[in-house]
Amino acid sequence: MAACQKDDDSVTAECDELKEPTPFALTLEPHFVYINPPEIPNDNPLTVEGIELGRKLFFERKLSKNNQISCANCHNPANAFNDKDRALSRGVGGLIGERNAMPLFNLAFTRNFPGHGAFNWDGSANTIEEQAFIPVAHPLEMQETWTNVVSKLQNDPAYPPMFEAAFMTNVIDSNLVVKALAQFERTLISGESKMDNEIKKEFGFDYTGPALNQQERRGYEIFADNTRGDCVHCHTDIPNPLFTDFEFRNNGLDVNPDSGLALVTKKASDVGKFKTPSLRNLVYTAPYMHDGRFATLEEVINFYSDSVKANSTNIDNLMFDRGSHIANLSDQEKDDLVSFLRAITDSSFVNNPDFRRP
Amino acid sequence: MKNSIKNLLIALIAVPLFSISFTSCEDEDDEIETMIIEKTVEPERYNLTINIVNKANGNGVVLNTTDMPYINEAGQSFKITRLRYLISDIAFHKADGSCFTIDEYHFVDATNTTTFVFNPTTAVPEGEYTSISFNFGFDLEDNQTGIYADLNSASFGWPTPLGGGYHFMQLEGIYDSSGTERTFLTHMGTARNNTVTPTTFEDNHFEAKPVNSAITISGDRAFDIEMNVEEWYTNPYTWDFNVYPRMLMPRYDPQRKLNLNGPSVFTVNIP
Repeated sequence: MAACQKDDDSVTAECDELKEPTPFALTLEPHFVYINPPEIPNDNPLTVEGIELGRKLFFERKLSKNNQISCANCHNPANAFNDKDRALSRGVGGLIGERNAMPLFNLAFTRNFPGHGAFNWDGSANTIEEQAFIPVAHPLEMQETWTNVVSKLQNDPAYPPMFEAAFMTNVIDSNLVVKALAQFERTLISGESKMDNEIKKEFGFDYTGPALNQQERRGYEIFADNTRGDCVHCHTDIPNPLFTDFEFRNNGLDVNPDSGLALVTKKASDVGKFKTPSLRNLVYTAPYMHDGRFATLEEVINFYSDSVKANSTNIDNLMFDRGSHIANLSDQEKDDLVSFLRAITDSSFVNNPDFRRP
Repeated sequence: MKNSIKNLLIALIAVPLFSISFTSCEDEDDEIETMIIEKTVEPERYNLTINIVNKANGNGVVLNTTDMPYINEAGQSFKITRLRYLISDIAFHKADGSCFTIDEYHFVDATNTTTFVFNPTTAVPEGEYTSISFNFGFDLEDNQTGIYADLNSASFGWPTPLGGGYHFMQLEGIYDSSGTERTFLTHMGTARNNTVTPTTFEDNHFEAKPVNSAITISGDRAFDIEMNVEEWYTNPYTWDFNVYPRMLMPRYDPQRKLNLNGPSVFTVNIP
């Protein structure tokens, strides 16, 4: 492919060969072999140039109406790409959103679901690309039009060459913007923590740093115990390092829950269902739940132990597999469980310079 | 998997004279006893399309119905909200006692219609087969913690304290308990017996041997494997949801009862 410019006589063309973007392969921790490989769409393969562009766009405030908000405002890399301490996200003009901003990591492993999307709390986006379209024009988020965004980027001398390097065209459009953002987001892999070391130890891989201590180990046993925590049915057991199965469920927060997935599917049986979040990096992502109602992990554990609403509409059956919706964990068990959850903290992820503002 | 080991042994012994081997399919308690049938001409192999049909009380399973359309032997009405299970090692038996085993597994998820069709990657040699069998769940050798990426991703593991490996089935729903809606979760896997010392972990898979499953393979073939959900709850043990509603995984008795009730759950329909 070549970029061609006609000569004055319009007969010959002077063509500069465009360089194909450089393929990029994700580097995964060895125990990630125990889950399905990441799904990279054929029409948006990972490239060095595409990821670099996506990273720049992720921190680009021109995506918003007032040029003050970027993706990173609600998805701060220092907080595992979450807006720590905010129950609901904030948009242009300080407008308050409807959901707690989801942290961003291991998105490339997300499973697809028939009948609805796999991304966002309510399954409203099928792909990362599709998800990336939403915030720009959302009235509570960036409040900008894609036409304006494209114009602003096209007129910024930094961008046309980057698009050309990534996509072999310097004509910017919204599809290319979200493709670049998605490429960057697919590189956000979190796979190092004390619990990851525990998995590596269990399955015979080399590891550096500590694995679980005694209390964290007790916490894991509660997490996996069908009669106590029974967290594993939804948040997966070793060796799966994702700590979510990505399913949509009602965990019994309210008797009359928010619409959740039903907003997308229009099915009464989906009212109250939200995406099961990963338990990785919880230290960075408070407050918790789709509406950020719980400020601390202790509050979360108290809820699952003592306050699940058995008569919540469409509550997931799994909430009863401990024999009851109430687990009545002791204070010691709760402390152990919190300790275990804190052990799935990946500080290397939040400190990775590749994920920071370029 | 067991048959991988068998095939490897056969390859070491028999290569290159024999390209197709049949193993003895008599009950052999996992002994690696191999009977090799010499073939001078390699038989043709043909592909299979196995349709998975999930039924309850004679009707196709529909998840998350507003009413309770199904009923068990104990007379309890119920609806189904989740149905996921594993079948493995589908075997084609010959009259001489030999069989050809497809050393693969298939994960069925009733929310995903693509799982209702199983196209094994292993083609089956032409021939007259007197019956078909398969394992429900995994046998002891296949039921190893963590080794199947797709099942790990689907959160289908069986907790290590309960013996590890994988769930064989998650059958969940709501039943009518004397006018009150209650949840049931029929989860099946390794049977932990902690009433003995030391605790034992018993292989809990069973081999389904549906009747009327003779099949001639002389070209690509399709047939149905049908699960009849209500059969999990009868024959020989009449299941009462009030006795075994939830938290079955750590309990030995319900796990073994499911193992006993399971063989009558499946039928095979060969057109």
